[in-house]
Amino acid sequence: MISLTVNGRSVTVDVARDTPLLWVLRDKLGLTGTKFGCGIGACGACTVHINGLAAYSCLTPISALDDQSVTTIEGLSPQGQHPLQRAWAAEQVPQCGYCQSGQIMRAAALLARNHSPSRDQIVKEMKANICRCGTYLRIVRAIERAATRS
Amino acid sequence: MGNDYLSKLMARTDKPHAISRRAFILSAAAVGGGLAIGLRIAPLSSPPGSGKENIEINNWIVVAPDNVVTLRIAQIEMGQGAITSMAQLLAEELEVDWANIKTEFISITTHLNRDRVYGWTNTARSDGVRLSQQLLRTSGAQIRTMLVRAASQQLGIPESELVAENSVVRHDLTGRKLTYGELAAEAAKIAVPDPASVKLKNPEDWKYIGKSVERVDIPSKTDGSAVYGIDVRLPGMKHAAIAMSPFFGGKLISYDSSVALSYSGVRKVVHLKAGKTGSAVAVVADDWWQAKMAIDAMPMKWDRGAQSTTDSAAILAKLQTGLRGPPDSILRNDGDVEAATASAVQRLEAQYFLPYLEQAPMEPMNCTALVTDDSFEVWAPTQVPESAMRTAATAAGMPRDKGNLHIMQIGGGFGRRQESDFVAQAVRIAKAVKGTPVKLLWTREDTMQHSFYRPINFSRVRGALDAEGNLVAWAHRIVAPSDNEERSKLGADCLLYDVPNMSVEYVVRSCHVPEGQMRGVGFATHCFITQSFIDELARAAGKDIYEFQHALLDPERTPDVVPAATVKTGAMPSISPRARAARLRTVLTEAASKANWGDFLGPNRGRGIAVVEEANAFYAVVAEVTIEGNGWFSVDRIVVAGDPGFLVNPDNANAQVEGSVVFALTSAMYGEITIREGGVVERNFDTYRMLRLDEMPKVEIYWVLSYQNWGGVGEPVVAAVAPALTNAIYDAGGPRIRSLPLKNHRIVKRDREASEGKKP
Repeated sequence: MISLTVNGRSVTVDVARDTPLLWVLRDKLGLTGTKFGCGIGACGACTVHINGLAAYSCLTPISALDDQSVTTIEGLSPQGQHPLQRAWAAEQVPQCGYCQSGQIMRAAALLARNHSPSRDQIVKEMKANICRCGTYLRIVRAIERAATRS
Repeated sequence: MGNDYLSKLMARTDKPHAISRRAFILSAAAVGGGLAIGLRIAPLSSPPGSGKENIEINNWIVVAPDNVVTLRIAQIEMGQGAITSMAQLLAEELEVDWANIKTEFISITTHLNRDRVYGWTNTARSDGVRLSQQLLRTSGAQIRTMLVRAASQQLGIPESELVAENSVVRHDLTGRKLTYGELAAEAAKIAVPDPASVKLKNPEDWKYIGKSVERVDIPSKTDGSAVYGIDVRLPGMKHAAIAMSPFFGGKLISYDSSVALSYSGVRKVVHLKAGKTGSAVAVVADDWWQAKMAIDAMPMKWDRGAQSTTDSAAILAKLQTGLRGPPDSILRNDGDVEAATASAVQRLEAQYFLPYLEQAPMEPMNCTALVTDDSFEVWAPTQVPESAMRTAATAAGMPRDKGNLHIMQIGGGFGRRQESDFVAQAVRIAKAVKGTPVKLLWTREDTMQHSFYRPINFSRVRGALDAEGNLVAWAHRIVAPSDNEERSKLGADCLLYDVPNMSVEYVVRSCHVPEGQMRGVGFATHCFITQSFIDELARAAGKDIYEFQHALLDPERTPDVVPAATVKTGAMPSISPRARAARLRTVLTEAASKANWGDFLGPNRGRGIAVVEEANAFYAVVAEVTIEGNGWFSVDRIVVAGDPGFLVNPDNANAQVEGSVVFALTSAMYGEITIREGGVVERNFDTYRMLRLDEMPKVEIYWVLSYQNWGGVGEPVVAAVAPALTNAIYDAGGPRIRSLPLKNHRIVKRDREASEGKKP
């Protein structure tokens, strides 16, 4: 039994200790906004916040999260109105949308520690996440838009 | 089949969305669309009931009493904006209030039961808008006519005095009006007017088409609420992981299911005997992670099969034998290539090679199925719902009318989801656990190693120039691993150049690697080859490549007959080769002009240009690069000029072109599937690299719309980026690139290579 906080709610899960957080979120807690892309920390589709920092949920065993705090895309803001979410809509960023939860979560962790990142800082942070549809330029625009508005 | 999860989804989304702030959740409609059958859709002939329920006026739209109009979408949403674009086309003539619409995917069951009423239901090849726009606009006008007719009968006012607008039919003289919601029940009883009898708007009167309407699926893609195939959750659902033969065509000889069954949560081990991609074994468990751990631990032995020693080098060697002997077919034969070559002043020959590629959509392959004794139900992320439905029925061993298929939103397709192998697997697994829904999910490794790959291509092109440097002969011999028009021929025979002697020959050298479609199809292969060679010819002739192309595309000198730039069986309005050449020349000129063609870029920098025609759409791309001195380069700027005739949604079209650039750069720079011991070497994104944000060039897009014909925006640019890029590398003083990907080349200046003692 592992107890942790997910999106501000205490949860206790009964799974094998090496089960990655990703599968606990998706299959046990029904939080399917966090996506499976590669399973090896190479694409960033599974990005969530662990204690406020961006992390690959596909590589994080649930056993490492006892008493830790996890935030997923569903918990980023109550009404989906985080400045980044609004900016993502304003710039019409998503195409297939599959990678975008991970993109937004990584960008949110960046903005949380740096309210006005330079373009270089944005690129350096966001290159961890793959977008196969190629929405990269809009991702940068949306982060810059959110940074100036937040 | 109703259930709590789905009803919750429906409840969450059963609200219209305003254009400014849409609460609409597309994926719920995807699930709900199929669910609605029998609840919402009355047969066309049956009279509506009390007027309290939602009314289907015809198969395309459902009107609710509160005047919310649901538009049905026949194309899959995979990020290309299909839902929004198709809704714009339908809404235009329907005169519907955009703030009060919902959308849902069509029911493929209804489609098949009603003699394929939705026309083209596949999602591929930039065909959605091109093949559907006429049907959608006409259908919108037919339904509007029915609504106006119903209002006329109800109000006793002639149709000619009534105006339909914003989901209301009104009579301006008396101020009387009826909403579509109030009219729906009566309108549904009216005979559908003859399509020829309805008049469509002129383009200048359009209010939705041609406007950058916000995409309806975007809000759900910013808060995690979008539901893809992988996200389907059903009561009592189990999860399956699968192991497939590491060798194409290999067979499972033995496995020890007791090992898998000893794992916690494991319910069943299912052996799937050889199918389209070889045999497989699946583990069904309570959770997917349990299933995956169990299958990874399960000992299994595979018969390596006859192809187990095949590798990439052997495949290339086999293709190279296709340069000798007679061709299997001749795609084009103008004039007399041999005679013209013999009398030419300069002759050039080059060989080009493109590797196998994998589509790599971000959402790994998956499908959910439920099979009972007398029915089957499938939740499929597919680009081809009709054939997925047939595949599911075959796998279930039941007639099609015993089943239902829910079209799921997909996390990228790029051609991979035109195959239904994973649908067949899911149904066969579900059949082994009857009454229990099962979601089959592949790993990334499964997805990368068990695809249907963009085929390799080996080509030789010969060209001849006269004393003035005019191109007088062109001979292209294609050697491909199968006789497939869409994948391996498109783009080779449709050149619009003023070249009196041109031949395109095709040779097949079969290979065991499974082939499929990939974004850009044959154009992406042949545009690289032809646009690279035309650059080589221009330089041999001592001419500027832009000037050279411009002269070759002179509409006054275009050949009278040039094969269409599409599959030959496809429905295509015939445009004359001259008109095609003129449109291609226009975008060539626009791209060159916007890219400051001819201005000096600076040391180590270069520019390249390429053009492509694909099914009524014309594009030119200019690339700018810098050779960095470390054996590699940076892509600095990509300029695109395009004429797809019309644009339904300009901002979405820009997004498609931006995405095409990224897709093409990934393939050109890194894309390579390697075969070793009869299987695929690359396993995941660490070995099959994708372009990342730090490698992005600046992208500029310019539209020069001809307002003639309808062409695609999602694909053609994919084809033209690679040759523009490699021509730019040469222009910057780098090597001539005749094989992709670029990661296999050292990108250094030719003069440096020479000084190091290598041949330029």
